[in-house]
Amino acid sequence: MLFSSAAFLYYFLPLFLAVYYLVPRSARSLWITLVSYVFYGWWRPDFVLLMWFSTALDYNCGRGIVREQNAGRTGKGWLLGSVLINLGLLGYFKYANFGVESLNVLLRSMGVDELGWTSVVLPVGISFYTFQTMSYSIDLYRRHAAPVRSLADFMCYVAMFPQLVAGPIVRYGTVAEQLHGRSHTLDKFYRGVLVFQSGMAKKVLVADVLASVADQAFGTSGLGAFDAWIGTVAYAFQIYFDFSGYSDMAIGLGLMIGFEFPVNFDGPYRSIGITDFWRRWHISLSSFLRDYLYIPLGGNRVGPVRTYVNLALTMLLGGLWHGASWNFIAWGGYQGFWLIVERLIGKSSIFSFAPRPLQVAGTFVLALFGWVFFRATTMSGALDHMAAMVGAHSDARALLDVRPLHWFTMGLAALVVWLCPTTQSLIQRARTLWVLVLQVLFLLALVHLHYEHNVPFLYFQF
Amino acid sequence: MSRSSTSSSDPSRTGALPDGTIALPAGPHHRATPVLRVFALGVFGAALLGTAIVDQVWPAPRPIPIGREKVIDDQRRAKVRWKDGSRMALLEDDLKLTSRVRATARPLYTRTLYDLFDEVGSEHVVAGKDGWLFLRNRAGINMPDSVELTLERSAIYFAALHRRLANLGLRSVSAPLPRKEVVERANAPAWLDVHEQVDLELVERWRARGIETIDLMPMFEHPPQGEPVYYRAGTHWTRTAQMHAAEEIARQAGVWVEPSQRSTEIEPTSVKPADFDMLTRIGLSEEDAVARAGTTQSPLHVVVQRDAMRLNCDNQLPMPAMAITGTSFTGAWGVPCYLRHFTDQAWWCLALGGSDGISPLDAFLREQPQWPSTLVIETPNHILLDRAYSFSIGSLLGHHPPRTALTPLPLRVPIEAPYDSVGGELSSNTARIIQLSPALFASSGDGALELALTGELSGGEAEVVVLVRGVTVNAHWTPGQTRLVVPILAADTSAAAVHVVARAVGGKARLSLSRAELVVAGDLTRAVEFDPSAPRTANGAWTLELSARPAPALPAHAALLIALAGDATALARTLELHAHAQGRPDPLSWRFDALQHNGAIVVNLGALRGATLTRVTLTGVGPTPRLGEARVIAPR
Repeated sequence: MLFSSAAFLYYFLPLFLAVYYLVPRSARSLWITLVSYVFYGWWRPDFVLLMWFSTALDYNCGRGIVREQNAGRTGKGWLLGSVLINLGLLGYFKYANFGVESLNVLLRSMGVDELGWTSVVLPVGISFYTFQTMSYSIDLYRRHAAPVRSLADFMCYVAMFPQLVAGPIVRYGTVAEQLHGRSHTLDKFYRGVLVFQSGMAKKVLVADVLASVADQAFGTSGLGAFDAWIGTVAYAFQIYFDFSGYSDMAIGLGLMIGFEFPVNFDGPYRSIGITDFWRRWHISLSSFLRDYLYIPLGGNRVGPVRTYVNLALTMLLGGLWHGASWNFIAWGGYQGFWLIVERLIGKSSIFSFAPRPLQVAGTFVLALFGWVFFRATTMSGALDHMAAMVGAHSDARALLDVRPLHWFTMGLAALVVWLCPTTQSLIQRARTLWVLVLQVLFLLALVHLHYEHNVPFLYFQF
Repeated sequence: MSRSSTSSSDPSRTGALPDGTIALPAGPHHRATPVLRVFALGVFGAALLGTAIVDQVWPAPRPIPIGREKVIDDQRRAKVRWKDGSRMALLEDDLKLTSRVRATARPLYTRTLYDLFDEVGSEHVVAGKDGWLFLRNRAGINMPDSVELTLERSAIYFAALHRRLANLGLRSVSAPLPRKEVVERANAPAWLDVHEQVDLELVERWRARGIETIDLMPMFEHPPQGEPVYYRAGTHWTRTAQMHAAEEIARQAGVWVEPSQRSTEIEPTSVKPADFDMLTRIGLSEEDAVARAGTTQSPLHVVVQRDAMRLNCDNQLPMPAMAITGTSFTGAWGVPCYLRHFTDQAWWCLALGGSDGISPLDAFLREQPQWPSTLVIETPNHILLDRAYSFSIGSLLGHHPPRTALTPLPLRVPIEAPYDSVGGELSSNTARIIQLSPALFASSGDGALELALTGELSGGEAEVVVLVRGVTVNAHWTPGQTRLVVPILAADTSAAAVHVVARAVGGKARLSLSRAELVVAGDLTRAVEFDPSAPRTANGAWTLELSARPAPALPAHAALLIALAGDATALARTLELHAHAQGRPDPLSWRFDALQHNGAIVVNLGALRGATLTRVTLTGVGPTPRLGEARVIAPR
């Protein structure tokens, strides 16, 4: 179910909140769990079984780890079981199509018959909840978290619908206490409403409007330089407002029911370098990759060369996490390259010689080239688009339908990205004017939803 | 990416959690907070819960789909399932369609966006300059084929159609309608490639195939009173344009009469909004189609009847000499009335609808005890862009045995076992029933040559498909029908193989084919024979000169048949056929890459209608073939 669908906004959410505050406190987590399964099964009921399997797997692995550790052993076997099965599931559902297609390309080139294959449907949110359940087992193994009190609690943690399908990736340790001891205050609910409204406005009024420009730009070959840049900027704004909008809505919904999820975005397009960018973009993923991949690989404590290798490997796998495509791998490699360069020169930005606004502008341009890999559907498409950006198609005519509303929205997006406070600052200050503006934007967003078809959140595909 | 890398100089980046993520800041503390809280929570609750209550207690009436939309809607509802999420998607759409809040808010919001940004809010509509709106699919943005292929395909399909009508004794005239996107291309956005060549070259292409074609483009581009033909924000013609279009059709069809001889007159009346237009798609009220500021729409014109005779559009009336069939452009509103006025005779009108193509014409003609002598076929050019447009030419008018005459060619058409007289089962999978080798025949590819299948079909309906190098023609064979005639269409004149496949429409049928012939429409007894001169040879090439005494004046849709009578294993290459007519400086020419020495050539001489065919030359490379016969055959 989409947060921006009529079924969710007008029926599911009011009913959920009403019952949530009517049932006894002890039953609230159970209510969240039940409702979350309905929410998830709305699209494909059969995939709820997969989530149950994943939940049961890590619950039992966690118990096994604790049992082993209480007996003086490490519990490594249970951990390995969890990691292998979780990654196996992820590999099958997310990467099997890609693997077979790549293999078939190779077989074709060798003149060998291709493998027969029926495409596997990707369960929405599998990348997110698999990471969450796996992190539980790893944290128990590392003794960074206490075991969950009951299976019901763990089911609630895994299935919790606000952040189920597109993050933020909430580690068990972050919400372990909240599963039982969270507070419910009017202030928290109010903050949740504001954050939710902010996310909704971002998603509907900016991301969805700019989607058509980005879709056109990346669906058309032979663009002129101006069109290529406009399309890339539109996509940069679209993905930021879409994903951060979703994250805001998730955080807001969490607050409405007493949960405090971590912030997932912190003004990423204000970064002065790519290292800074990754501290601000999809923070829950970058910190997850750091703690569960980069540091176990040795981090920056194993000498400069290994550090660079670790960085590159982390970013390549981070790219691959987004999807089974060479484009995502290239995007991860591109990010890793700049992280290594910044580390090599020992500066926080390759533009550190320039004033801060230019550092921000330069980093945004670097990010734009990265988004080309991310958005294009093929490598050749990405390279063609980049060629267009540097003026390779000098005789191309204007092909994009960029209308006044798109220009207005891009201007508005730029204003929000570079001049307005971030959502968290806005909520912290909650000035009268901001709150009033937010109400208008929220109502506009609701009306705009009546005007356009629903556009799925971009990160649902990951 | 290091543990020490979470600090930042940005003041908003406080609250880092132990795992490096950032906690949401604590709640706001502001003196206006209590009031704001009530307000914000009130807005939130009222907007969500209020919508749910209003929409359930006072739902908006559910739109009633009609025509194609209804078919699609019914199919969707029949197919919905829980498992794949389609039921939930349908529920979501139903919630929106019956939402009272949506029905109220959407027009206001749409109007605002339209006024502020010229935003139309629909991927189907493109906003141009100065308030002009265009339909995206009519601009041909996603045109599946090249302009060349689109033009050629439409020409060969319509040439075949007109030939069939001629064989039934009907004079047919085509009226392709220039698209708004082309007529008003100066007002379209610069990025919009409307593929104007389709509309600008179409008439010439069709006429070259012998199709009597009305050219409306000059009038559309330079309307008599300067008023644009199309509504600025609509998809159809203004009333004034309908009047001018009707007059142009009457004039070019040769039935226009002087004003002094007319029994009706036109007088102005008040403006009536269009029945439907693009504004309904984008949520604006229909009145805007006419009343939008800046438009210069003239008042509505109506025909005042001086006599008591009803004019048209009533199937119960006796069939008049003139009939027009097409879409709502000419089938609805004023055009039939204006036609009556400008021709001073009754017209019969059959509006078929764009999405149904011209296939209903078959049923219509079948039902009529008498047919009109002239049929104007209106076709909006935008539907020609769509490869899937329902031409159904294979079925259309393809089995009227009492009324049609077919001349078989002396070529053997092998039927694949088991679809010969033994009979064979058909399933939903296509099965090959005939395959003709390349170079067995050469044709102009526009229906001058047809394939006639004779046999018995039982157990269900069958679909027969003829494929020639990517051009397909579909025909439906119904049980009880003993013959099916399908035109052979090809976008070029290369020596391509012909594949004929069949499948059971309902999953199962039995087809027993007893005969398959290549045929030419027309009566052999009225054909004009051509005699060959002695062949001339030079440098490995040969030339045959053909002539008839007296030289025949060519009727509409005449075809030239040349059958060779040589060894099947010998091949003539690089053939050129030139038809010379009196008064025409350039001959009508075709080129074919190969032909068996026992093969046949059939070409369409329609472009020479009315001229006298003086001489035909056939040249080729390789051994000189023997001529079997050469005739000009025309539909009755």
